[in-house]
Amino acid sequence: MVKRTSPIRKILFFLLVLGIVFFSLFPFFQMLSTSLKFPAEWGDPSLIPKHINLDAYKELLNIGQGTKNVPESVRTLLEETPNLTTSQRKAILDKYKSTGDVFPFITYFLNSLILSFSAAFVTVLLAILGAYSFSRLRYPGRSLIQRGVLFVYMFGGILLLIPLYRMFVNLGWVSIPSGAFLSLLIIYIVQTLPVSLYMLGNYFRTIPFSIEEAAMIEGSTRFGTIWRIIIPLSISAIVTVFIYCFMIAWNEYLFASVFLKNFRDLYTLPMGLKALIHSKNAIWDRIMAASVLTATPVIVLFMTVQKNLAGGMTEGGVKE
Amino acid sequence: MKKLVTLLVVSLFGLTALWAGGQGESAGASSAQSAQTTAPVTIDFWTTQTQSDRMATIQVLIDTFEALNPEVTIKLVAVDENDMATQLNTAAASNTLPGMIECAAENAVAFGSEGLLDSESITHLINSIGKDKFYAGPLALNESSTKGSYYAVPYHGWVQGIWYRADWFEEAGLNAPSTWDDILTAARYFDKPDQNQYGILVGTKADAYTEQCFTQIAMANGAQLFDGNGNLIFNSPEMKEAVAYYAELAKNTPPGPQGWRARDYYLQGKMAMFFYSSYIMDDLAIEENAKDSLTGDNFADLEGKNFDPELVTNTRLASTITNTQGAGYGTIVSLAIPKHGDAAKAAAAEKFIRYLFTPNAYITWLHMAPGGMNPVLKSIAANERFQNDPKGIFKHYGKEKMEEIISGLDKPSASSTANGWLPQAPSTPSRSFPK
Repeated sequence: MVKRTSPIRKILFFLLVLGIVFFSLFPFFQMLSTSLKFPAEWGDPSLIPKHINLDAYKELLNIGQGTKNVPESVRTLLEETPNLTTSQRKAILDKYKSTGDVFPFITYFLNSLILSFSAAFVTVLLAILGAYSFSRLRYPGRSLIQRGVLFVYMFGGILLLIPLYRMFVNLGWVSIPSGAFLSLLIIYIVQTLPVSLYMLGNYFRTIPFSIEEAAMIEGSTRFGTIWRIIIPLSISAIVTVFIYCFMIAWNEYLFASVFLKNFRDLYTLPMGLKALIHSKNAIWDRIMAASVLTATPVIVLFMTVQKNLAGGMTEGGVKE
Repeated sequence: MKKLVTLLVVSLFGLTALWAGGQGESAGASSAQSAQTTAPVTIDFWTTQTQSDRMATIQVLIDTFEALNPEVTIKLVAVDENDMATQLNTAAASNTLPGMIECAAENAVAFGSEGLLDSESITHLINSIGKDKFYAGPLALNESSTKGSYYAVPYHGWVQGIWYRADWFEEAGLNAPSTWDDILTAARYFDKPDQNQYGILVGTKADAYTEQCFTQIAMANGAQLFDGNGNLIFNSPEMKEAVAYYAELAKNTPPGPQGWRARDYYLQGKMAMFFYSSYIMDDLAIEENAKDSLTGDNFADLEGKNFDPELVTNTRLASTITNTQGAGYGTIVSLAIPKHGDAAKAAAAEKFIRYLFTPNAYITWLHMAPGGMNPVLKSIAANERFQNDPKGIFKHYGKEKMEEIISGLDKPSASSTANGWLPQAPSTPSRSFPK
């Protein structure tokens, strides 16, 4: 018995959907629009820039930027410092000229990408194994461990920051770039693992055990079962968890700023953005352009895997 | 299967570490000379000047210093002003305190009172430069609870005061607006709403700008937030007077709740006085910077105006406001040496700070933000090289006026802790006076 919905309800529903879409997309359009406007137009609320200004993007992506001019105050400083040899002067000037990059986007982007991708990948791997054990295996203390894992979530990041930093300092990791990077990776994994375990564990319980049973009767091992049955059937949940972990790591600022501050080549995008924003002149086009560049990868990632997010691949797998 | 997964994870970790190692190598290479005379020492210098162009200038100062002192290596680290407390406490807990830091004076006092700063080294440094060489205000801001001992050494700062039309005042035969009475008299005299002209701009929105205007006025009346025992005394008679006086002044401000933006009225010749920091100097002097204040976009009753090249000549600053006492207002940025317990590092940091105070290095630093970074040493304001700033702002003011503006630092400053105002969160100029 199918109920016919009245056209008025349809229209109202459609308007509601439209409203939500507008509400979600508006800030992004505003960001994009401001990044393309000339300063004179910043006060204009219109979303369509009258003239397109690509300077901000060029500057951030370092396209067609010449070498830096040396300001007079720097030149005078070097000229009026006695005891400097000519070669020393030249070396200092050359170094100054070569630091023309306002926002080494490519470097920051790669750092963020590698960090987030590695963290998400490892988290998902561990979470699949852990969640499987929570949902399928029986051992003493299972429920305690299951709930205990979520305990990590009771503490805010700022509380854990100092103890974690101390631990890594004592290990001697923080003073070398690769160590600092790895410390951060481990922290991200620890931070995202609890929720991943929880989400995946709940999802695995919805997969009928009979399918696994059938595989085991055919002689499949535990790992074989996970690999051939659990992972393909719960791919949508796994992708969701991956995106969640990726985004947490991608946007994280606090830990990154403490662990990586000594290594400018390892800065992540949020750290680079923060440095841009604290500039005396509110350079909105630059800030917004950088924000667009930062947000785009996550949006692209989400769109690519969107089709995998359709859940429920187990329908019809078993006749109950 | 198991092996494959393990291999994947291990190789992923390995690759990540390799990536970071490769990325970090170039950062680690410093330009220090190979010739080493004494034991080499490396210190970290945390600066709050996080913009890349400023970092590059500071790096030049460091490189020059290192060329002259091959035994010292300084690593420049950018730390956001708002993260300074977190970063410093984390470093203190893990024994990785930096060799020296640059931060807002209020923060330095807070860190100092927590016992994180080496006040002995800094006090020694201040005495060796000579206390009388500094303006009194900035020094007082960095003093610890022990008289004559300092947590940090002031390095640069901006001043706030009332910028006014000296030509109008002269024509009307009024006194410069430096006392409560004179300010109110002038504000009423020049307030002609029917001609779209207003007497004064004070903040009437609940924002940082209003806080800064009011703080200076309240300080001039000796009003305090706390007494010596830390009790809140906001309802004191002095404070009530200050609030009433402020309300009276606000009647001569353009209609509606106003913030710093209403400076447009002044730049378009429609206002006699306005509160602002020394960041306004370039807007008054240079057409390019004044542009966004010369339009009619922001206020319905302003139609926009061409740049007035005479305005800078006709403008003066009353940096001290007096009723029962004189009060200045400014934000000072200081240099401090954290208490890391390493004498060699402290000595190296002291040596570098001493170098930063040599006129040549000092002026190079201050020229990163003309108007925003003013010297705390009295000898610099009239210095020829300082006058010749990269934007060409100061020459519009001339030596005398520059000294007048910067000497606003000489009064005990309103963000001082000593006289009953708790240190506020650092109000960065970008937040209070966006430009």
